[in-house]
Amino acid sequence: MPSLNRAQLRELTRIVGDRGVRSDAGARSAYESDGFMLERATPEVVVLPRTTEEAAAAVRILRDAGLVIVPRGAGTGLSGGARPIAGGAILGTARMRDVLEVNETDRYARVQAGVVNVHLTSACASAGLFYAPDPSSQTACTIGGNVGNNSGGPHGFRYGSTTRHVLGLTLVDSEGEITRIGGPFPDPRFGYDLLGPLVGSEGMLGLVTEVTVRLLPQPRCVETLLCLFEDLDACCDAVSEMIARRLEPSAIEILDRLTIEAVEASVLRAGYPSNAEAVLLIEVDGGADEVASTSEDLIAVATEFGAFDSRRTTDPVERKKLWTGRKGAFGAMGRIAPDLYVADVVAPRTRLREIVRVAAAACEERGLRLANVFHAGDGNLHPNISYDRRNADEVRRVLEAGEIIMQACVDAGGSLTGEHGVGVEKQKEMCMFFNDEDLDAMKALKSAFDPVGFWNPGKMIPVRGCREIHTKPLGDSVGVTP
Amino acid sequence: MSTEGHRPHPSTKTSLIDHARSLDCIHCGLCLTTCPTYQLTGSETSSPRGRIHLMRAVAEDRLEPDAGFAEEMDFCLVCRHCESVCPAGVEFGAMMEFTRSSLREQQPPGPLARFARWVGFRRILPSRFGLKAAVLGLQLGQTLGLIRLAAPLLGLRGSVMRHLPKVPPRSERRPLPAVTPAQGEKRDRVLVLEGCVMPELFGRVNHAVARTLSATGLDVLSVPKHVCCGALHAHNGEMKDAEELARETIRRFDAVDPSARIVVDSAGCGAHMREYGRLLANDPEYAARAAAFGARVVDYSEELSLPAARARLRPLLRAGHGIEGPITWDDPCHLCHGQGVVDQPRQLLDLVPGLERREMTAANSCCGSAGIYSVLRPKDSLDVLAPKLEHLAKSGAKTLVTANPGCHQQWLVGIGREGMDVPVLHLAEVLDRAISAGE
Amino acid sequence: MTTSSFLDTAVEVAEIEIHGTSSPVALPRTEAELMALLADLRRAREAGSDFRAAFLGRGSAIGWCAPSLAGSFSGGSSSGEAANNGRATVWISTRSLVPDGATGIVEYVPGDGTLTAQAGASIETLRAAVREGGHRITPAGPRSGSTLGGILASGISSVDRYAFGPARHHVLGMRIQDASGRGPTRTGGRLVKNVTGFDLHRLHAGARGTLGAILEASLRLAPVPEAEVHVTSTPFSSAAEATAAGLELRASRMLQPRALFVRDRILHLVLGGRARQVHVELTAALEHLDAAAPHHGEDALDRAVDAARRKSALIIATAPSEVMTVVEHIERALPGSAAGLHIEPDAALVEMDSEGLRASLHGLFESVLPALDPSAVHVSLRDPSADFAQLRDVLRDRHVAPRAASEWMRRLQSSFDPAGVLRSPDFPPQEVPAS
Repeated sequence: MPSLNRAQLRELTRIVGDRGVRSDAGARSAYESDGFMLERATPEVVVLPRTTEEAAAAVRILRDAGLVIVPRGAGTGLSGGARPIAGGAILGTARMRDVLEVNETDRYARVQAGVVNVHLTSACASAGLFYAPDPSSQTACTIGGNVGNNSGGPHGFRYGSTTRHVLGLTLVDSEGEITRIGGPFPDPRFGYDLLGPLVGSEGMLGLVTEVTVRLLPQPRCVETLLCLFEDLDACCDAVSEMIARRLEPSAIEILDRLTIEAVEASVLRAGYPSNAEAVLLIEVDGGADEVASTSEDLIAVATEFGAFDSRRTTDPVERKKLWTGRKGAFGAMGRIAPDLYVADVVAPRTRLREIVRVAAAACEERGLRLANVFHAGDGNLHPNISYDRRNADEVRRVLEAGEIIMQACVDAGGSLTGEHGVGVEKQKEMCMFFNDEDLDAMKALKSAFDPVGFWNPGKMIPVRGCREIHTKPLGDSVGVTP
Repeated sequence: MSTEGHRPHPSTKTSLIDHARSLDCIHCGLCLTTCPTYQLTGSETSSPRGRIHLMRAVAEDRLEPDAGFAEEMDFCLVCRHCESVCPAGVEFGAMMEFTRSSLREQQPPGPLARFARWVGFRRILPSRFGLKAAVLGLQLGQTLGLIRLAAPLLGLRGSVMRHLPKVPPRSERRPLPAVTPAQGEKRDRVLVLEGCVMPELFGRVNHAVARTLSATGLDVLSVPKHVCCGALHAHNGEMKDAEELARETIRRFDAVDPSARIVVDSAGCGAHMREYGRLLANDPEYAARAAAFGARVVDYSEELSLPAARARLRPLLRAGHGIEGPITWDDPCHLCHGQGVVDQPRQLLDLVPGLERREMTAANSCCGSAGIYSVLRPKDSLDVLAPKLEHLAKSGAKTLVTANPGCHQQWLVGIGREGMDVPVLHLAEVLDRAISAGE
Repeated sequence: MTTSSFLDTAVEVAEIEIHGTSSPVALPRTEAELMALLADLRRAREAGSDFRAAFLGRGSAIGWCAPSLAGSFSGGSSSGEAANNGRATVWISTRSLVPDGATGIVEYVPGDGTLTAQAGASIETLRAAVREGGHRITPAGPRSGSTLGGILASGISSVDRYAFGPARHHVLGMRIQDASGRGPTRTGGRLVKNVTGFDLHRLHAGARGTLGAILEASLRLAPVPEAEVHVTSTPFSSAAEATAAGLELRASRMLQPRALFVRDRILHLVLGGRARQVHVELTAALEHLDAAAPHHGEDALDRAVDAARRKSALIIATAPSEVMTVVEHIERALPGSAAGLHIEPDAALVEMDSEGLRASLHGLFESVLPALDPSAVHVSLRDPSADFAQLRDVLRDRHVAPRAASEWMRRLQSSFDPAGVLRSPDFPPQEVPAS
């Protein structure tokens, strides 16, 4: 396996400083996985540059050393995209965390890729602006990571995922060359819209070191609703109906009882009711009258579908608590079992109940505990399955259930991932959704940016062709590193 | 999920780690940005999640607990900010105490460091005589200018010493009387912890605490001959000493009054004393008593926030206290993260007439003091403080208020180095002056 | 050279008027026919024939929205033109892939707010179909005369971008026929949220068919609002004053307009949403604006789209904070009135028609262009007429793209079209390396 020689290591250290290079076994071991814990592989070296220029210089050294590069933000990703397949270097943006510019008039911000999502939002709050994508890990995840995964979040329902908010970015390519693409302007000027394929490219086309994002005026009025249901099916149907009636809140989330219990037992307790099987957490924003009209209509739908109670609040402190609870739900599941498999599938919004039932049945049959907390308004389901990775049989059952859920979604016209990305987790399952020719087109894109396979190799696109993968029995395609 | 307080077996490396507790972490990473050492380095290895990952790797025999591992454990300030945001409820502080303690037992430090620790933890902290001797030494050094002379020899540690506070006059260092009687109608009686360092360096704070509590109608009882609660020992892995000091503390306090609330004005001590139950869980004689003791511990700001106390306090507070505003409150980690006390001190400060309070950015992040961390790792400690100083400057506050001797001292050092003109006060001093202004 | 001379496959060929000239266009009726046609063209290119193929829908945008395509008619000289210049163009339309009498709708799911349709489907048919379910297609214009594929490929956005952003933000997935010899490929899906695989659909949106033909596209639809109103101000004394009023409304944040633009000297405003909110915002707007009687109703946005209809000869794109400067410069250079000026303060676009451009050409050279910082203001010429050849030359070198970016674009095209069958897009001129 290629690695750095002493001179190269010294040169790297000279460029990025003592704290920018970690090559001892202990330090590297912390980078062997991200939020996806089923598999791991340790990098040869971890490099943490402070600027675009440092990153570019580091890339040249790593390339000369024959190391491949895995870009990484805060390592909160859930598909294994930010950890190596085998060896190579982690190039992390965690020290690139300056907000370079907030422009109030033109409503954009320019940030280094390692800026934490929530820090960007607080940096532009005094200008009355906000950055819309709000993944649940926003208190830790970076804007660069969001770009890599085209991250969503609850408010993606109204405002869309990251791709709708990126105006420009700076990319370091495999030559170590720095290129600025787009800018703070609303439309691409000529040639192709390179931002399109770069956003969501999971670090496979280069390292994003700077991002210019669109900022939105803070809504004049925000109301949060909590609708309580006695069963999850009815809750799902209510959401389908809200979509069918074309109501436009900014977020529609479902939390089931197990999730509520975990959150309420945690430091993030939000005051969710203990007597509901499922709750709808909805946010409505806009002008005061728009908010009032829409909230009334939403509550009417919820009531019609059996909500036994609906609460409304405009108090910022209370609202924040409700959302902090939602966003910590994934972590709170740590109270239930040592490990958590977070599925991230998408279904057409007319078929939410169906998929939730498939997930419930798949887990029940396998004796697994399932908790649901998801972006219902977008059809983006997160069945969370608790397990203990030391129990190999349980791991196998979890992955089996995961595949059944993915297959059911694809069969219903849905997809494999709504916001967590493919990474290593869903690489083989890509063949459920795409055929070899579709994947060839993706390889064509990859090779235009990265002809030698330098950036984040072994991710997203299956290594073997789909035809080959499809000939294997279902359970066999599940890759487990015990 | 976790097994309470089981002891490490001293010979296997897997026993270095409280493995059961480490399983609570599901690697979500929400703790990262709260961690001062991750903020400082950007290295995930130096984050709570990373450290748990290392502990787990050691416990699962995938990683050697080498010097690098020990260094990473020592680099942590144990500010417990991560616990405040951890949805899975990982008890990081407890895990870190366990690991440090196991490391000390299995990989004892070199003879010089061992001697220094012995002097510090066995001879100075738990002994009033030892503390007085140390302070006398400091005073002598300051008077004779020895510190100034020694500073260059000591490098950065020396530069910290240069900013050590003037040892206060003897009058401020006198202990509290056995009873400070309630003013006006008596409501209740409380015990107070005078502490180890507090009487020597911040005796005026203890007196302010006693005066303000008594002003709201409380008999304030001190505990004679008690010196140290053992918090610093526990944080630094000296668990046996910590346990012994906890037992002694319980005995001495209970001897004065076995049921009164115990008011603590030092956040680090309060956070630790609240957890005596966990610390002594395996001691059949003390387990129940320790848990009951822990439940009686309240922070000074909590005591005064009780409705009856507030009702008595409010009319006593007057403008004309001479404190220059705006003020800002800096949360000691072991108050906000360790004890969940966030609103009470702010609300009390807001009661003081003629005093504007401003929020400082990241008031709940660590100042770098972290017990004796500032002495053991002065450079890291000051690096952690640096962004806080910027936030302080940006806030425009003219006075900084906190409630922990370590933090107090750390701010004095930092503010001194920056050449800023911002006095540091304990919450009790602010309230005491506002009461005096009305007398 | 005629289109049919390259073809072994029997494909229907029709004559279509493209920018005043009648040209032959191949009309494949099935995807298999299209694939065979592309295979023929690939062979012809490999055999050394010098031509390029270009896709179109109904050809409504050719010459205006797709300058590189228009180039061959005008001897255009932008860098993209150089690659295409003088070569025969084989025009291929995707509109006949929609069977006669069919709508081209593959799937409209009102309950999910999504539409999947063939690229050759006529936009007015699609608009009418989703209107039944209470939905709208973004962009709101053009309203008719175009195909879905044509609109997406040319990257057209309409005045509703104020609220909804550009058209590409609403594309959920596509089926593409590229020129590599592969069969049709899929990218994205039919879901409002999905990150499975690379986002190639956003690459094809606006690529003008130079990476392949869009066969099918899925869109996220917008609801028809409960209430909508089109407000037009009385004419301001200048376009600059109207723009200032528009910028002020934008900055005040008291309204959430669907569209806000200046046409000539009139400020147009479309307010839409919940009825109560629209009522409140209309009242507020009328307090700030001298306006004609507002037009209420479901066609309010359509009326605004019609009012904004234009053939822009020159498009100046900048930042909102720069719009006033640009407008003032242009207006000073324009003798007489501000007729033909179209200004969108939020998208920071200032556009003028051919007549205005002709009238202000001298001032443009003398005072406007020198005053505008090329790094903050981008000027592009859309009118292929020879009258503006000199301006085209000046603009060509005004903006450069980083070397790597234009390299990636070239590589992208050769990845999807290794034989070089398709026309080149408007590749930006390359930055000269510093060393």
